[in-house]
Amino acid sequence: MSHKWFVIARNDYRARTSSIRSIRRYFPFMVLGILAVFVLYIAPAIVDLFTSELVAFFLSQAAVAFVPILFLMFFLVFIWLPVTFMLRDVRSEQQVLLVSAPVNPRDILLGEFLGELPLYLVMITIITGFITALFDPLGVSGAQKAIIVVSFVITLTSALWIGTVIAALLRTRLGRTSRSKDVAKAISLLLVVPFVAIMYAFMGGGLIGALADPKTSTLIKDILSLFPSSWGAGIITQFAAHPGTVGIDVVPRLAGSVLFLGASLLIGMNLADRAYSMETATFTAARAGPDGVFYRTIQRLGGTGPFGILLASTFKIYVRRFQNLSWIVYIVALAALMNIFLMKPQDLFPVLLVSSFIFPLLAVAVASDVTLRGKETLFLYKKVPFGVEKLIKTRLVQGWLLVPVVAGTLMVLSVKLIPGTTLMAGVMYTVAVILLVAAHTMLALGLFLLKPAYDERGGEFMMNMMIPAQGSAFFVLGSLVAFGETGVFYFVIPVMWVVGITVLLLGKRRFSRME
Amino acid sequence: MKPLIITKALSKYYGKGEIKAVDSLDLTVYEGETFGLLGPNGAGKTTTVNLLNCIIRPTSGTASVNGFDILTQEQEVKRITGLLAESPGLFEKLSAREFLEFMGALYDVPGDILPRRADDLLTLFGLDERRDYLLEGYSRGMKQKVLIAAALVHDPPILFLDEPTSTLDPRAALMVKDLIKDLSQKAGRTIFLCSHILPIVEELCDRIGIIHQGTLIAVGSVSDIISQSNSTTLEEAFIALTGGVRESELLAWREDENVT
Repeated sequence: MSHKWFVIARNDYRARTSSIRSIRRYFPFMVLGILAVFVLYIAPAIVDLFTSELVAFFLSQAAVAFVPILFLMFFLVFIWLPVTFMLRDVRSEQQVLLVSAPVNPRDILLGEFLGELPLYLVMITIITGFITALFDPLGVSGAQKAIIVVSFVITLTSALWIGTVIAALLRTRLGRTSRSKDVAKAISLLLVVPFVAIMYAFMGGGLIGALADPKTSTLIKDILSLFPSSWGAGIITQFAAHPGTVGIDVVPRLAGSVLFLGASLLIGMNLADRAYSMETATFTAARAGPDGVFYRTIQRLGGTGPFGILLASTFKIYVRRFQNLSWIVYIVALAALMNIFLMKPQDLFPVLLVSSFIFPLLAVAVASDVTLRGKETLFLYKKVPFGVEKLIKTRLVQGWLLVPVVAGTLMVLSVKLIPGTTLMAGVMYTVAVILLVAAHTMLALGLFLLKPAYDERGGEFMMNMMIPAQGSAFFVLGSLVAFGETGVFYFVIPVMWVVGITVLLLGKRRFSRME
Repeated sequence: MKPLIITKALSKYYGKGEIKAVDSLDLTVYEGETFGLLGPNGAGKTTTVNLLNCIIRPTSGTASVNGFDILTQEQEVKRITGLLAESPGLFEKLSAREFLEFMGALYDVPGDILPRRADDLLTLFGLDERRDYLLEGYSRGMKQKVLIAAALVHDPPILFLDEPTSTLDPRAALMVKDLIKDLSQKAGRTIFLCSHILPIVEELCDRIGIIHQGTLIAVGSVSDIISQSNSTTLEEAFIALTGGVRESELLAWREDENVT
């Protein structure tokens, strides 16, 4: 293999650190300094706060299965991260540049991996620093800590390499058409759901309690022992049980991790040719069928004139993008998981609370489509007579036909599932959620016109997402404290409407003046 | 001939006035003529088109389009103009037919006319067999054809075309050229054309204007421009007026290197 992997790695690292170009020379030293402070001072200080609880936990039955689960989570996260970053923005154009140059695909793969490795090593250092600090109260020796660090680095580097290879293979497969790129973005969002489900199950789902049962705990541990992540976890639980003693049975576990890393590298390298293949798999283009019942109904809802066509077209633009649909699935899943694991509602009020926290996100996801398709699409409206008004009217009606309907449906389901709910309460809460979410839809649309976000990774998008989501949560909780449950009905909803209308009018003014 | 587009000291500045995208533009375009605006990259052509279509507002000066003031009668101006923008937006999840229907609806084209007109335009541009495919699968040239069709969908009396043939194959470019001629000569449409392709401008335009660094530096027929600049071709005239690279400079970059 030539030195070209180094050229690619350096280029990849430069691209990743381009936003801090001015301090790039000093960046590694700054990071090393900050990490040293974290590992030596901050992590031990945090652990000190919970010493007695942590010691009790690591010596408990629950830890036997919890540590392998934790290790597996880290292992999966490090596979998931490069995959999800790639899926969010599949760019095969740069691959063409590399493949058209005299470079071996193995060099490209290794270069890309090494280019991203320094930044992931920062994460690995933070995690291992924290984990080793956790073992201080147990009296774990320096040698044991060193073995834990080595085990962690090997396991997570293996995961990162596997993630890089999968990402490269998927990029080749999904970078070929607009539709497959769209599918990739949808998958990237939905991949978060299992992690959220496990996290919520730990937080409020009684998973820790279930692991305290020796039978369940041993069963889970046995299942997880098949994963390489559990070999490192085994070292940790062994050291926790026998602080100061490095037993001989550490060797096969560590050797297994090293062998796994070697085997992953070998298999990955052999897959490099496939990962950088530019062969076109299909020439089939997506075709629009005749309008079905759904679009015909939407068009009728908009009337018989041009507005009906505009509304149906706006729905097509939104619904035909898998990424948009994945947002709806993701947010509904999030609401369901919160209700199942965290809130466990006995009446409808907690469902209303969850809706007021979660559905602003859906309002944002729907409203964001107005600017995410690019400034040029906004200028289509600016060119036509009364285009600003037409854009706002169609996007608002589209939002109202989506977001409150989804939120209302979830509320109706909750009415069915929560025993003892009266019809009156069901109607009242459903109407309240619909009104609240309709206000969020106006607010979100106004925000995106006021501060257009042309890229999902930009600061504007994050800001526009945080304002309705965080604002709504704080506002609802504040009024709950001040006025009680009825305050949500008589105070929050009217105020949210006033805020929504005001921001929408401001957004309209800003869009009219946009250049 | 009736003046249709009149600009008076039309200016557009950015920043605190240090970037003069368009500076005191005085221009008249007459009804039924095809007017070409030429200029190097960043000269102010697209800004001029955006100003005349009421997409952006001037810093100072004014203009009227068919008697409608661009500052006070925006909606009327927008209704009577069609625009093919330089970097146009396109909803890729719509099919070509759906996109034309969408654009027609934006311009309030009546529902009984719209589907037929969309189909006719797609047939004209040779896209009738691809009408139901999503635009995301179209080539750049095919997208350009759809965008030209979209600019025509409400049959406007004034058409602004910013680089209409730059991404088209020779056959499609010839068709668009013929279409522009017909729209001007047979349908009496006024065409405002921006292009870098000098032979097209030379062939299609009754008069041309050359804009450089936001200022209109020459205006007249092609022969007027050539004689004004003591040149023999439009290309020479363009270089003489806007500046260019000397032939001796072209390969100067190789002299210090042993490039093989």
